[in-house]
Amino acid sequence: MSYDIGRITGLKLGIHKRISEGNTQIFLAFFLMIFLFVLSLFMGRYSIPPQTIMTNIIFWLLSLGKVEPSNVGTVIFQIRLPRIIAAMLVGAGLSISGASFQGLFRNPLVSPYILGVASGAGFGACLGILISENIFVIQLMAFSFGILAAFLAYSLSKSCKATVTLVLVLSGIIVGAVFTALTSLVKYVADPYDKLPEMVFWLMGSLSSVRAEDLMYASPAILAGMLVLILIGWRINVISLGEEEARSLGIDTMKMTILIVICATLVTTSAISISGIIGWVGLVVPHISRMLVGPSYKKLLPMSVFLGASFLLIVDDLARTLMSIEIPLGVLTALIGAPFFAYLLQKKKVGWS
Amino acid sequence: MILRVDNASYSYGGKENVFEDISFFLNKGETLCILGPNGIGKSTLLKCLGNVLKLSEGSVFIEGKDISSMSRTEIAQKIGYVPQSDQSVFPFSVLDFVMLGRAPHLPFFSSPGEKDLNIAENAINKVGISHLRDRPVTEVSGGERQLALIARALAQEPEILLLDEPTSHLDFGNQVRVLNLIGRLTSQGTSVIMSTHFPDHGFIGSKNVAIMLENGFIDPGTAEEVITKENMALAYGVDVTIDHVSSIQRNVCLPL
Repeated sequence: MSYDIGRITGLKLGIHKRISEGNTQIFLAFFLMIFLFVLSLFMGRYSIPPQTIMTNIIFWLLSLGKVEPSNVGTVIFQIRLPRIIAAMLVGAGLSISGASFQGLFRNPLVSPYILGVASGAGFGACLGILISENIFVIQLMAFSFGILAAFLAYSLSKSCKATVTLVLVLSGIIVGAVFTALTSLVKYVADPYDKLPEMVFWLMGSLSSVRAEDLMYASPAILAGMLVLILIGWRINVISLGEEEARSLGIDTMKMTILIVICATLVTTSAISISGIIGWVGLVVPHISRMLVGPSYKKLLPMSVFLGASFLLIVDDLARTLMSIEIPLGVLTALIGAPFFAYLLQKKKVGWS
Repeated sequence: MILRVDNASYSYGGKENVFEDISFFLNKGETLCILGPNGIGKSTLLKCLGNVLKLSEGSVFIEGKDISSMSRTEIAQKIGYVPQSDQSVFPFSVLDFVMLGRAPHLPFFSSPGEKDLNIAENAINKVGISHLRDRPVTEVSGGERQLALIARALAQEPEILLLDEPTSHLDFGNQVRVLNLIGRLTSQGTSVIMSTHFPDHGFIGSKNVAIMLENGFIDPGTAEEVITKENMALAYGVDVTIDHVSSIQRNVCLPL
């Protein structure tokens, strides 16, 4: 009898193990992110002794977020902290959107910019730079045109009656091409000594000018979108089987597609409206995450969030400390991401076939 | 009567009808075997019944309820659909893949728990692929993948199971095993509709048979009534002989 009970509990334990498999990696990634967050506070041009930073942080925590009116306090809490949080939000946001779009489009080579969001936001930002000096206007324009691009791509796909996701990809390419052309036009007419460099710099991506206020606007949308995507994560598995199979499993594929597109677009556009165009993160991080925790979106999405945040933290730390001038983020993510992706391909360690 | 189909027609995008005016019904625990030539619309009919496609005319009733008045989730709780093949891109483990069959039973924002895991494991055991449980579904053979698809539909715990050529990728042994599994399921009360290219499948386990032709079904009936020399010639344009094999107590259909 006792043998039977032992066997039954053994089975139960086995089941528990399988449901929680991969959670260890997710926890480790979470702690990596926290570690990098703290580490990043200590890094920067303006050198501050570690103990000064510690005392400032402790003071800040005890006084519930009031900043000590000193140079050190300003550097840590007005410059470094917003930038670090922005790096985490943008990295996490681009990664989770990329992963979600890859599932929706059943294609592991899809990036968060598949619906033309980056081209739209790029055009919006350049137009904003052309007509205004106000950072808020530029961000708002980038955000609006990013959303507009995705909306146009979606509406265009609705007018065609073929398989939704395939047409959606093509519509994204079309809309992206138009906005890229318009961006070139804006750059062509811009003042080459004053406005043009600013546009080029924006299009290469940077977090150097992020202020705490920017985070106030961008973070609610990014966090809300990420939360919804994580909550429906398991169902993204079902939609990745393709429309017919998903429907036979009781999924309203139309509603689900719209929900994923809205969340991922909101997250992506909010992220790049404060950071500029940052490539490769949304493509490479989901792949690394898939290698580590497997293809199930229930684990893949949280993993992408933590790894994406960690990845962009590292890259941004490099961007602001490596050389005496800021290296554009988009350049670094490509220089690090592309060779790494090539390495993965060669090793055939990719999580798809 | 668990399933009734009234005057069903379907056309892709308003073009010529793929099939038209098909009516039949199915009782609890019965099996209907649909025969018919390639391209006649068997798969399309099954997709319409599984609510993957919408009929252009006519209606489908489950337990007397019109499916157009039911939600997708409700329908998927009653009807499981097994496609001929699956094109999953991501290498889910067979267990994770089968677990996706629990989707219609779970609230929108939740994911499967221990109960669902047990159901999925039972389904995997039933189709006899427990040794593949942790293998990526993209790396198993076509036949094994078809068995995983059947397991996924079983995890859905449907009352009606639709199988589109369930034996097409299977080896001889697995074909027999799947037919036996269908027999066991129907004796437990599940109703099954399957399309097949083998008339003999109709004779195994005394199924109802319908032959699908250009203008709908030839009157459905028992296998013995429907699978005749004349009907086979009409459907496939080949001559067959139908003999009773006394050692196995059933008819067989053989080409001449």
